[in-house]
Amino acid sequence: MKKTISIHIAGRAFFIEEEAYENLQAYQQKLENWFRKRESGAEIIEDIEARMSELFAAQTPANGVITADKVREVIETMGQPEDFSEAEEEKAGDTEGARESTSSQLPLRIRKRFFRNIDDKVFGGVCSGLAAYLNMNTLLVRIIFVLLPFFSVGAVFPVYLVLWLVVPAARTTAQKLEMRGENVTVSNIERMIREQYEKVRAKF
Amino acid sequence: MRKGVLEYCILSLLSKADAYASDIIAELKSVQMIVVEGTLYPLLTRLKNDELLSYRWEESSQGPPRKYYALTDKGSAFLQELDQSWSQLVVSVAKIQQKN
Repeated sequence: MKKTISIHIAGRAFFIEEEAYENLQAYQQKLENWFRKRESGAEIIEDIEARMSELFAAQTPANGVITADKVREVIETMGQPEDFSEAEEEKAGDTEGARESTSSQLPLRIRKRFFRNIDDKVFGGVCSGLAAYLNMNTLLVRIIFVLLPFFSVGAVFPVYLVLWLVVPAARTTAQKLEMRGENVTVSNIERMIREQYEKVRAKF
Repeated sequence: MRKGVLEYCILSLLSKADAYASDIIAELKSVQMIVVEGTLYPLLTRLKNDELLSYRWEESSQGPPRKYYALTDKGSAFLQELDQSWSQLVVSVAKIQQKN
């Protein structure tokens, strides 16, 4: 007895064995990783999915179940992304292809973003978010904001209000990591959650 | 090299009649031009981005609508150029082969 799952592929409904589903998902993930950064990647993936859906429909009888063998067969027909894209890239020049493949192996570039830090706020968390963005001491940024009107930079009030309205708050763990300029990786998220847990525990 | 020829084949096929991806695949497979089907899709998308091809959605009697590809004016002009350079190439290669 095997468990089956019902899925949709490009507008068609299918029943699929659990193991077959896992294989199919792995393949799809592979396509996704491969094409995500390439031009029109989403469109290519969509086209490939439509074709796979067609192949499944043609090869399974009505109300039939897609087996693991069928998935293997269809994946073989479509080929692995490295097989069909490699050849595509020789045209663009070898150096470019090589550069791209090394960069895709490296972890994602750290991208810092300006968020309001609502975990450490006086009003809206603008100052502490800005401090995290600029790698400055939060207290120093706050003092600067408070002192600016005395040096006839009264515009700082409306500026603060606009920033409060416009800058998103760092709510999710991923956003908090981005705010600090740390990589959004599973291990970093885990570390962050552990830190928060420790903080909450320390309060009681 | 093979890629360039493959592009040429696709454009030639589409100059005769508009087709959707699976028709093109069947044609190319029947003459052993492609091994894995996935090869075709990045190519079609690139040709489309280069405005050599255009596509439209067409309802199909079986299943979801299909993407039908057609040659654009730019595509036909490009194909004519390719036709010329192809015949030239064939002549040149034939000459070299005869010399040996």
